[in-house]
Order: sequence, then structure tokens, then C-alpha cells
Amino acid sequence: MGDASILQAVLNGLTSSGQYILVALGLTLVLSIMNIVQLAHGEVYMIGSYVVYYFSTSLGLNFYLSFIIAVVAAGVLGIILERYFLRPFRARPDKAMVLTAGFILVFQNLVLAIATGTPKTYKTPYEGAVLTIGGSALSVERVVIIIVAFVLIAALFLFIRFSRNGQAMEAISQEREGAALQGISVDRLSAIAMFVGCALAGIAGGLVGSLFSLLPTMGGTVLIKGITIIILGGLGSIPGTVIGGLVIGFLDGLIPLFTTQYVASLIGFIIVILILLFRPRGLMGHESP
Amino acid sequence: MLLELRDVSVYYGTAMAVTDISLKQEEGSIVSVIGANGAGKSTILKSINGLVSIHSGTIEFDGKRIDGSGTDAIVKAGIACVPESRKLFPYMTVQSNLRLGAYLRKDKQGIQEDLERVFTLFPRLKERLKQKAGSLSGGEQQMLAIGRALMSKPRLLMMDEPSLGLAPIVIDTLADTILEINRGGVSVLLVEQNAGLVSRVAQDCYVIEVGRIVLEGDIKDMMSNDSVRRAFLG
Ligand SMILES: Nc1ncnc2c1ncn2[C@@H]1O[C@H](COP(=O)(O)OP(=O)(O)OP(=O)(O)O)[C@@H](O)[C@H]1O
Ligand SMILES: [Mg+2]
Repeated sequence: MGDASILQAVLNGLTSSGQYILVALGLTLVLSIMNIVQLAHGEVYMIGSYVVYYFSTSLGLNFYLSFIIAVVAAGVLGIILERYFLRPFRARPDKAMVLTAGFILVFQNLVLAIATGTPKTYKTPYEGAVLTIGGSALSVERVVIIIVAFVLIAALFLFIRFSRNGQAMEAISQEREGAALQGISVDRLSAIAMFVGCALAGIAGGLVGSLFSLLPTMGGTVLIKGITIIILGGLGSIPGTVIGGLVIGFLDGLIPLFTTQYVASLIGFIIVILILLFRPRGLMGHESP
Repeated sequence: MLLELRDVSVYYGTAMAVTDISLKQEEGSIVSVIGANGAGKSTILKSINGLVSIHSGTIEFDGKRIDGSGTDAIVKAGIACVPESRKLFPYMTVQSNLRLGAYLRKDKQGIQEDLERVFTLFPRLKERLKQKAGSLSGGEQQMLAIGRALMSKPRLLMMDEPSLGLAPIVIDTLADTILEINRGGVSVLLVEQNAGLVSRVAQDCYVIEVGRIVLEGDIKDMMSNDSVRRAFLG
């Protein structure tokens, strides 16, 4: 195997990682603040892609503007879901979670009804552009995904670590009642978590959508990847989510070099199960206090 | 009156936890609620905090109704709490825990002054500033829980069984700490199971049994009345 194909594999690994981490971070935020796995998160990603498609291709709007509209739409969708559907079940996270499963069907069928099941595609203004580094040609589309993803990951880190709302989120995830007693509003921070988490999923969907055809069911795979990542990383841990995402993304990018796609995804899950056998709380999960 | 509960009842589902609780506290005082396991002491504090909603009755703080308000509004009004089992943020540093106590405050200057005040009260916390709260000893965790509550600059500090799990000598220090905080102008509502700590700091005392107040008055009178002491104070 030559250097060029290794570089290519690393690039693919980073692209998958970046996309998965953006999705999984939303799952992590919502899980740690609201105690639920938001099962319709893959559909928010899907809607992100479709909104870009709709504005850029159907309406012929500028791609960048369409992308911003998609991100805002995904974030606002998150706020609406939290305020009107999840908040009434605040005391019963199990019920809220079943509701999010229902939203998978609602969103998929809504998009199916509006956009039909025909695969859709859209292009970025930099489609086909390549960057030549050390003799290998790298797709600019992939490089953009990687850069945007990792800049956002760093931004989220700083937000949690240093901002007032970020520290409040951290506090809720460690001790809900203790946080409430400091005057931290769980309602308000749940809304922020859903906005940020869904916007990140929308960004992932909007960026990655140009690499393949869109289908209303496309959220399923990323949800499975996302859930695998947060379990692997240690539920509720943001650094764990990033590391878990890198592991899953690189397994996705590297294993297919040695074997077929099907065996590759099998091996990926086997490796995850092995890691969890030795670290049942995940890579960065807290031991009991 | 700083705090006044009138005929407060709380249910968990269909089970009545406390019934017709009436309690008054004047500004600057230390009031205590004594009761056995499961009597409803924590429930009373949670109803004041807004962590459980009350079924009937009213709660007034500084003359204004606070029942039905969110916990954030109640903290903002000036009520802080050292909860049962402390409920610190275990993976955060002492410093972050204290800073979160001042979550609702904007006055940087005042926050800094109160931080210094907490360090004067508990010099140990200053030494442990960068340590994770979960790694502190029981006594240090209790200091941090009290310090965190003080960081909101409360007018009323509620404490839920602060002596639980502490060594007798630490409980002595705790009594001094409570008196010191009170001298600083903060009213204290102290919930306890044993009368020992209470008799050292409080004046007015309410005795609660299975969700009802069965006795109220001066703790020293209660302690000196043998039959009362045997019946209610263990
Ligand atoms: N979340 C809850 N759901 C149902 N019942 C509850 C709940 N919390 C408390 N109870 C019940 O309400 C009653 C009063 O409980 P509470 O915790 O207020 O008592 P307490 O006096 O604080 O007891 P302790 O000394 O053990 O802390 C008890 O019978 C308890 O079992
Ligand atoms: Mg209690």
C-alpha cells in the first residue's frame, strides 16, 4: 500500500469521524442534560441535508445561504421539539424517549410526502476541486468537512469549559438537583442543548449531503453510528464522544482497505464490543464518584 | 416575617408526605425542624425550594408568595440550600463548585468578596481549590456545600441534616460555623434528626412526626422538660 492511499484513507477516516462526531455530540449534550437518547437525531441530520437541497437546487439559492438556513432550521426544530414535546415529559424521560422514536416516523414520512422517495443530489460551489499535497489529490469537499467539524468541536469544548451556560450544562449532567439549587434552569439549558445539538446535526447533514444522494431514511445509519460512539466514549462525556468518533470514523476509513465493506462494518462493531469488555464505562466514562 | 408557611400539604403521587405544615421564621433568626427518618423534613425544604409542588397552602418569603415559582426564581429571591447528601458536582473542582453557587449573580466585585468570606470561614477550601469535589473528605464536602450555598448571597440558608455522617468533633465546629454565618446576617432554617446540634444553635423549634407538626416552641424549654424530651427528641 502506497503513501498516497494511506493519506487517502486518513482523509476518509477524518471525514467520517468529523461527520459522526458532529452528530454524536448532539446526542451527548441532550443525553447529559435531559437523560434521554434523542432517537430522531438522525432525522434532524437528514432534514439538514434536504433543506440545503431544497433551497440550493429547487429554489436556486446560493449554497452558503442555503446551508445557513438549514443549520438555523435544524436548531429551531430542536427548540420546538424540546419546548412542546419533550418538556411536558421532563419527569418521565422514558416517555420522552419513546416520543422521539415516534418522531423518526413523522419526519421521514413528512420528507417523503414533500420531496418524494426519489434520491436527490446537490452540489457545493467547490465540487470536484482538489488540493494536491505530497503528490496526492485531496477532495476539497472532504477537507472542508474536516476543518468545519474540528473547528466546531473545539468551539464546543471551549463553550462547555469556559462559558456560564456551558458550566451550567456540565453541572446539570453531574448533579441535576444540585444544579437546580444553584438557580440553574434545567428547562432553559435543555432548550439550549437541543438547539446546539440539532444545529450540529444540521451542519453535518448539510455538509455531507453533497457527497451522496439524499433519501428520507438516511438518518438511520448515522444514528446507529452516533449511539455506538457515545457508548464507546462513555455516556455523557464530550471528550469521550470525540475519541469514540475518531475510533469509529477511522475504523470506517481504514478497514475497507483490507477487506470488503460488509466485513469492515462487522469488524468495526467487534472491535467496539472488545473495547467495552475491558472498559465497560467506555473510553472516558467516569468511575463512580 | 422572612418566611411563612401556612397549612402546606405535599403529596408524592397519592401518598401524603406532609400535612398542614405552618411555620414562621423572622429575619435574622435560626429556626429548626426536628423529626425522625421519613417524618417529612426534606419534603418541607423541597417545597420551599420549589423542587416539589405543594398540594395546598401557601409559602411566603419576605411577604411575597413563592409557592408555584421556579427554583431559579426562589434562589434569586434569596433562599439557598445545603441539601441532604450535599449534592456537589463531584467531577468539578472546589473552585468551579463555588463559582456555580454564584450562578445567578452578575456583581463580580461582590462575588469576589463573598469568595474571600467563604475562605475565611473555611480556610481548608482555599487549600483544596483545584481538587475535585468528589475527592474531598466528608467534612470538607460539607464545608463546600455550605460555601457553595453562601456564594448566592442568601438571606435564608436552609440546611438539611448537615450533621449526618460527621464525627462528633466536626459537629461541634459545624455548630460554631452556623452561629458565625448567622452573625453575618443570614437567617438559618436547620433540619435535623438529633436535638444535640439544634439545641446549641437554634431558638424556635418545630417537632414533626409522620408529616405533621406535633410540637413547637423554644428548644431549651423542650430539652428541660423530661417527658417532652423522651417523647420527641430521642
Ligand atoms: N420522591 C418521593 N416519592 C415518593 N415518596 C417520597 C419521595 N420522597 C419522600 N417520600 C416519602 O415522603 C415521606 C417524607 O420523606 P422526607 O424525605 O421528607 O423525610 P425526611 O424527614 O427528610 O427523612 P430523612 O430523615 O430520612 O431524610 C417519607 O415517607 C418518604 O418515604
Ligand atoms: Mg430528609
